Amino acid sequence: MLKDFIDSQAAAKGAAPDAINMNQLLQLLQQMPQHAPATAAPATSSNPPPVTPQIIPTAEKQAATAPPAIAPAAIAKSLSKHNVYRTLSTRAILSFETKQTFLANGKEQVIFNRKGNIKIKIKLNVTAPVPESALPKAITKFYFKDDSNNILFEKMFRQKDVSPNSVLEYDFTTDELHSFPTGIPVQVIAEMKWLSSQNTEVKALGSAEMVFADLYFLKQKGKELAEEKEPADMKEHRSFWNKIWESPVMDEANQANTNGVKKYHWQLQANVKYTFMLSAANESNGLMETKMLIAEGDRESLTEKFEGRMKAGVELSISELNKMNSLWDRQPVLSPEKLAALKNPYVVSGSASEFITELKLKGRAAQKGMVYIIPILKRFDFLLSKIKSSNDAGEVTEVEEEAVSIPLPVSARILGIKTK
Amino acid sequence: MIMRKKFYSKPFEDGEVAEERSNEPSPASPEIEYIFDGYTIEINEKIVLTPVQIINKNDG
Repeated sequence: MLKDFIDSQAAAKGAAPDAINMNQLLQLLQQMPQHAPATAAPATSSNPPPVTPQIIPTAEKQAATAPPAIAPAAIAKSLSKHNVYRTLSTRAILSFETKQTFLANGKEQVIFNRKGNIKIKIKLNVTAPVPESALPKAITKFYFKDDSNNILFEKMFRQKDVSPNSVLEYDFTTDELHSFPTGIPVQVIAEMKWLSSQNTEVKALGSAEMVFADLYFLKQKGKELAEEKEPADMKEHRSFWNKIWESPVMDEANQANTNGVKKYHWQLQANVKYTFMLSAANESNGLMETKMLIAEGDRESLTEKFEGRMKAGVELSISELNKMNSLWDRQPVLSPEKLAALKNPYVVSGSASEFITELKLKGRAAQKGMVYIIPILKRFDFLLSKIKSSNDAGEVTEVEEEAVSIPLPVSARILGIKTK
Repeated sequence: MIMRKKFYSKPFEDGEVAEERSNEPSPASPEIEYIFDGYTIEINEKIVLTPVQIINKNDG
């Protein structure tokens, strides 16, 4: 085959020197015999399960006739301090045995009820020929990771007599799940290790994404509702009012630093970027200090100018926004359980917004000027799923849909005022 | 009411806020009459927000 290829390349050189038919080379390589074993796949009953030397040491006598066991070839090897080779099995893989998925954060997910103990079921899938006997000993380790790849929790189980293609159960208590975030995906990685007869540590891996929830979890964001409201009463809704700029006090003390040129006016002319962000973690709103980039002005001018760029913002707490439901008639604030489902990174990251505009305000030295920014809110529907039932493993099997709404900023009010 | 203060962790980046984009004032006229005793209202604008993706919220 390879000779044919070389001959054809030699013939082609006359027409196009240095040209190699890569497609032909690729096809030839694909036709060559495969030396590597097939990757792991669930075994079928039609394949007789022979005894494997890696799993059952007593079967070493049959090694000459028996097919290779669970880990016949190494994908990656490393030498540990105990001189044990670690090998990733090419014939065994772990799969998570789950029953049902529900829409969570707009994506199909397996949901576990965090209010009780749970069981995670793992199947050790071994490709044919499947060994007849069980692994005498195995260690299974679970890692739970958040979306930033931080390990939230890990737990190890030691087991005996682990049969290939069997489903194994692993228990986790509510205390162990306590630190898990609710309503958002958690990456679960399972790693099963066993020692082969050649003193080689063989392991199989599996992973899944799961959501842990208490009572409610967010199914998806719904539509926006029509009516806008403003937290117009500064006294009642002070935490939504952000004073981003205030004119300077131009008394005799401050005039001393103006190079002997007395200022009679002040003037603000700046491009301002104002950002609205949401916070799930905080119970109160957070004001971002205004930052200015001022252009150097005319020192001889009789006006103290603030020309340049400005940026500021507010971090609105979801708890505070929940209270704003009262701006609309007959709209109750959400219960803590429902609010917990909305304190979710998908709601927070999907609701950030900003505006950029030019601000102009000027006045006399004796006048005081201020610029306030407040959000204009609109209610948005969110669909929550309420857990109705879960099975003995803690896996949610039935939910009930419930629509709730919470105000979010859609516009901003800019108010520039000065004393008369 | 307790208000938290957050601070920008970074100074202005090159070109930040200097971009041409400017949010348009909302066509709707102000529906609420704001009154500040002793003050005159010089700016009263309603501006529609643009959704943004915040990569690191502490960067402002």
